[in-house]
Amino acid sequence: VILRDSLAQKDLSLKMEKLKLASKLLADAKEHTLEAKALDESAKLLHMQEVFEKDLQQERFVGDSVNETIFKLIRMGYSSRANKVKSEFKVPEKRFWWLKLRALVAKRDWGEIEEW
Amino acid sequence: MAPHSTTIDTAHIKATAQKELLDLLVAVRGKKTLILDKSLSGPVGLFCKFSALQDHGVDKIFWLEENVVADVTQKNIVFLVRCTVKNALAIAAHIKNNAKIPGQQFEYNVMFVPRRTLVCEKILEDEGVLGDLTIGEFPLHFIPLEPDLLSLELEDAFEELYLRKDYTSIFYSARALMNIQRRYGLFPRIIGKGDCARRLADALIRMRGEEDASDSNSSPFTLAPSSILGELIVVDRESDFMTPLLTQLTYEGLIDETIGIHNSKIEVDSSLVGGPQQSGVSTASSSSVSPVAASSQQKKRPIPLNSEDKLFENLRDTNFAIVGNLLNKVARRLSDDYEGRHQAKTVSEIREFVGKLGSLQQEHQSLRLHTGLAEEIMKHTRSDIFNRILEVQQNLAAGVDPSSQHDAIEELIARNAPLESVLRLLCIESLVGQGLKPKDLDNFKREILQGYGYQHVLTFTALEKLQLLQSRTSITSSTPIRTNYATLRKSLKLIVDEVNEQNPDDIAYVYSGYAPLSVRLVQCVIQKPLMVRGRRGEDPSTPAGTGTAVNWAATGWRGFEDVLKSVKGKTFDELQRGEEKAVRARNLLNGANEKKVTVVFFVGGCTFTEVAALRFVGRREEGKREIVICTTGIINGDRMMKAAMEK
Repeated sequence: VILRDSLAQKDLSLKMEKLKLASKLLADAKEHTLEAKALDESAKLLHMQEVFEKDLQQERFVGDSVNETIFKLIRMGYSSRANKVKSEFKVPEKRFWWLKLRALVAKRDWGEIEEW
Repeated sequence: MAPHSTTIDTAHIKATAQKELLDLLVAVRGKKTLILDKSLSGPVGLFCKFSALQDHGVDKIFWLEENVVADVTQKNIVFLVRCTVKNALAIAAHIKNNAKIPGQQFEYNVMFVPRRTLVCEKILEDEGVLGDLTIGEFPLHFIPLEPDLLSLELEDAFEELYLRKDYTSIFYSARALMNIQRRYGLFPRIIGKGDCARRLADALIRMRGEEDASDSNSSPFTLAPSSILGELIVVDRESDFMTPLLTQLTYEGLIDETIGIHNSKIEVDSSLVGGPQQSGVSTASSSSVSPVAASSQQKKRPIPLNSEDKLFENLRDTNFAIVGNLLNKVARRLSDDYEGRHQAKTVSEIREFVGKLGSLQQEHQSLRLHTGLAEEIMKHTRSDIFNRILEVQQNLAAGVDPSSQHDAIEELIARNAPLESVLRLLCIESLVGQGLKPKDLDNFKREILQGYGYQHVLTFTALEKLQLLQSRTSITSSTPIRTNYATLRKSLKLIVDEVNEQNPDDIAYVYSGYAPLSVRLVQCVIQKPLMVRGRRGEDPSTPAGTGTAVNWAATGWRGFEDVLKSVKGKTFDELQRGEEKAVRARNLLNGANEKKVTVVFFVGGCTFTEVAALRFVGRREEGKREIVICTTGIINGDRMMKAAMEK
């Protein structure tokens, strides 16, 4: 498992060889369902990040974690996109609030905090 | 505390190391360029100043790195590197690159630390450069960080031993201990706990056998049981993973946690030090010499931290809670001393004052440094996240129901606390509670993967392999014995509720309430009456010596067998005997009733808190024995986690 995982690692850094990755996962999906699911998610995340980069131009997303992605999106004011990421990855409410709070503070958007 | 005078002459070790290195350098004729393994520069700097290297014909120093610096000023090139595959490849690349420079002939010398191995030679051969080289060895083993603290400074030993199951560092440890035995005689008794510790003891006994066999002509005297050395206690990191995972709360420990101490040096902003006056301590490592490093590290200055700094020596092992007070006191005294000049009336009084001035200024300097450092650490310890982490740690260690802490841990993840800290908490929970519930573990895995990136799937695999973070189901099925903190907590009194940080009466002060298991084990061997009473539930701090005259030296682990059963790894207790005649002769020579030196060896690294705790034990035992601490390297929880973490 480890070997395959680390192979996947290199593919990740070689940008978008997600397909390879996914297929490898299916191969060892017997016992390691959690890991397999995680890597599927990561592929999904990379895909979304690619889209964001294309749409939003000024920020880099690829390579960030889910939390960081949400954080950046909120800070930049794209809360609908952030919500989409949230639902896509089943981010628990509590964590999402923390992220939102931190992001809004970073943005100094006090009005938004009070409203919400 | 009084300056330790150790019977084991650590200065001698230092001097030998320096002499051997310089001899090797002199053996290469003419001026030469030294190419240094980066991980060696710190250790080398500890025993050898750059000026000394210069005196022996070293012209320039470079790091051994991937991007090769082509330097053609000197014909002789000396590589001083640790013997690893990567380094061998780098050397080969370097030589090949140099071959492209026209009209230059180089002579290469490679010195492997601490020894040459077949693998490295094979690589050099495969790369086709073996013929151009002269290969040597530089047997660097123990480096004295302090008179009572010897380290091999193998930073990766932890990872190698427990994650990759690579036991070379045990071999090096055995060699290093063998050197001590050769000089002072055999340890009469080797006591230890843990699988790796067992390996180390086996290696030592085997080496002794080899020595006996090969040097039959040398006097048996050298390998008779020593009258100076008491016993060797080997503690395996594996039997106590918990201690380094907790946040160290001594001054030195906290510096290590927040800033990081490497080779007993720290790097801090030069603003903290206040000006470049500290010229007396020319940093021997080549960091200031190498042109590349110098430009990028303009602001960071390496500061050596050791017992030469009297102030630091007093502060290092105290609980951080009282450091502020101590600093304050010193500041008061200093200003009083400065005020002293107004009272100076006569010429001789003035002269006296001027004479003191130098030492005053030096003290002033170090006071400024430590006040600055303490402030820096305060900033850190006052932060919300730090306190949360500490709270969760203490609760977990004290055996509070772990699920009550889960909310706090989740919050930390959401607030993007350093991953190392989060993992440390989870590992502590796993260690204390014999694994996490599968559901909880999966939940945390998800949180962390989303919070810190999916590459940490690999981190979890590594942690599982280290048996640091496991789910409860996998434990019951597979593992033999694990350290059971729940039972040990009672039997060894790991948790002490009332700690006196001002005036510590138990080693638990180093963690403000938790006594390191590893040190408790050592106490089991050398402070029996104390520990026995502690187990009976009496107050362990009542003065020792009321009728509890157990026969000290001869008991080994006896009395604690049941306790040791709940600690992971093998237990052993070996006696090393020599010829009767030699023993008697030696006893006659040295006097048998001298106080003995107990050597405590940590396989896989130890923390500064453990050092502090052992020093505390040593002070209690003053008169009976001295404690010298040896280790493969200094470790802390973050470093443990980094070993497992995927970048």
